[in-house]
Amino acid sequence: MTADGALDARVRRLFSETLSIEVESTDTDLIGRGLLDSLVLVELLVHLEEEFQIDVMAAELDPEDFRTISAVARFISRLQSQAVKAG
Amino acid sequence: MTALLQDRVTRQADRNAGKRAIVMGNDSLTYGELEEAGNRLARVLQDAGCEPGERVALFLTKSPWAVVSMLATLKAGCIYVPIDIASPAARVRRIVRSAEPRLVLASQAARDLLDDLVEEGDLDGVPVGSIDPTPLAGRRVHSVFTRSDWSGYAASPLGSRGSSDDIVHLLFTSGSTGAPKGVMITHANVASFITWATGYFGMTASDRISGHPPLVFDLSTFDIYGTLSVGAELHLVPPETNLVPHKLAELIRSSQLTQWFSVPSTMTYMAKFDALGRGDFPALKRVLWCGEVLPTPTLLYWMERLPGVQFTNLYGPTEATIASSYYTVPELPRSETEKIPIGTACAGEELLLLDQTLRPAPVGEIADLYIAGAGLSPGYWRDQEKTRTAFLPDPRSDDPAARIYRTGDLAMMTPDGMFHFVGRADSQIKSRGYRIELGEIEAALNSLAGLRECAVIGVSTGDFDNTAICCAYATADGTGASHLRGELRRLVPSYMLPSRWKEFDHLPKNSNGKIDRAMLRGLFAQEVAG
Repeated sequence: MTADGALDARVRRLFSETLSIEVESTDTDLIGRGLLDSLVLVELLVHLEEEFQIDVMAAELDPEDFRTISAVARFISRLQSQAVKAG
Repeated sequence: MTALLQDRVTRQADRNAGKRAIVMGNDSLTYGELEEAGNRLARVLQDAGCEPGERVALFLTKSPWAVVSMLATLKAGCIYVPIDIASPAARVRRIVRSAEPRLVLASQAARDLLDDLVEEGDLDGVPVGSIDPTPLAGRRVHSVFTRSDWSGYAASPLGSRGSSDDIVHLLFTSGSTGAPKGVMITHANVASFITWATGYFGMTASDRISGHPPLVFDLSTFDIYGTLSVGAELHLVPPETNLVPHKLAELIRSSQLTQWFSVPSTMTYMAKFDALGRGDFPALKRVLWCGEVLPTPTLLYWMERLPGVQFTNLYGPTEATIASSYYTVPELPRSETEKIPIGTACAGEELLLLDQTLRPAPVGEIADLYIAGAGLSPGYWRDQEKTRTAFLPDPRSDDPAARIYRTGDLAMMTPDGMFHFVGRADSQIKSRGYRIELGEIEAALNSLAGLRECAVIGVSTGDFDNTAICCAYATADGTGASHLRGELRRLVPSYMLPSRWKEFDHLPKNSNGKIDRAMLRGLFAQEVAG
């Protein structure tokens, strides 16, 4: 499994186990299907910050980063690499 | 104004065909386009065999074409049933079986859900039409027409048929015994609220109005028919915008909305993320909310930033159509603990506080809140028993047709004539604006193998989410909470899933041998607070 695939799987497990959101695939449109709403997003951000040690700025949130499981995984990678550069 | 909702739109189209009616993202329809598409689709429905009084199920999320679908259903004399496509198939199945639709209108997002229903035989003999230009082609579901096919039908008016007592839609809400119940809403019900609201708020054709709640919420009825009745512009909030507080604020700003109507959890979300600037939204005239209690700190946040904007609290259950009372906040609340009243009845409606013998309760006393008036639904779809329990003969009237609706809410009236919401007389809670019967969750849990007993309890968090759903359970075979949760999510929507679980060998009982809910509530409250 590639590194991205592993991250996808971790995010998918977090959705399933922590948020009780089961999705068919990592490309399922979470927003279009109505699976992700604002309150779920708030909960998701708390868990992402905890589990992946990232810091999300509210004003910089872009809905497209939460469109699919894969998009969330890319979002995490991006923040992690930014944190490494900054550190 | 004319009696039928769809005729109001026709009238606006006759006057102002080129004016923009509905906008969502890059998608928009003028009044002329809305009217013509509605007429064409109505003929498609008739051609597919839809007879007046039959139901059309809408497996649709918010979009201009979803509004076309509603209007077309009404033009064909039918009743529409909005379906929450994020709900599990098991729950949608119960709604479909109850509503018995003659036809389904759907968009691509509903494909997997429809596949499940078709596979289980729930839609045998029920054709599915696509409101997208492309066909719906799933494992099992195959649409019989697409939006591209509508152009073969005439766009001219169909001629008004029907009466104001005809049913517009069935809105299914959580039922305490497990089965969702369908509230029947008539043209006259909606017209009564719209007539009051457009007058009170002074809505005109120059307004730009938000369409924030999902279509399964009756609040969306006000946005849609209120806007289209006065020839204004409806700005539907796309789901991706709704995710992020700053995007919501940006929409209000850039679309120059004059009216913002949402549930309190959305207003709190925007406040928590500090999405509003001082003096933001110069075009905004009024902010309305309904569906649950707005925390006063949230109201203070909004009012401090938006001086000169009118802030109005609306109150009312689906059974009394959109809202039955209103309170416009006259000045900045003095403290974060000041309670905002639900106010006084809208024109045509009446709020009553009655004791257990249905006699008026004295001023200042907490009592059951009843509603009378033009907004009262005829009752629950195909459920005379539930209708009789909730809709009672008006004790003040000799007219056998006069009724009052028991809201299940507890309230009191202060000497100034203002009504104040106090709480619930039963186990219904509100979360994210959704009305949830804890009994529905318990019924779903009790259907699971391995579970011996359970109690689902709502505990106020005093914070953002308002109410935490907590579950105490005992199993016969050591089944864990994660398994139960996994099974439960096949039966109820995600907003009904308990966030806290506690396992017991036996649930605590009181002296009557009943589950001691007060004790469990105390246990969970400590946990939630900690």
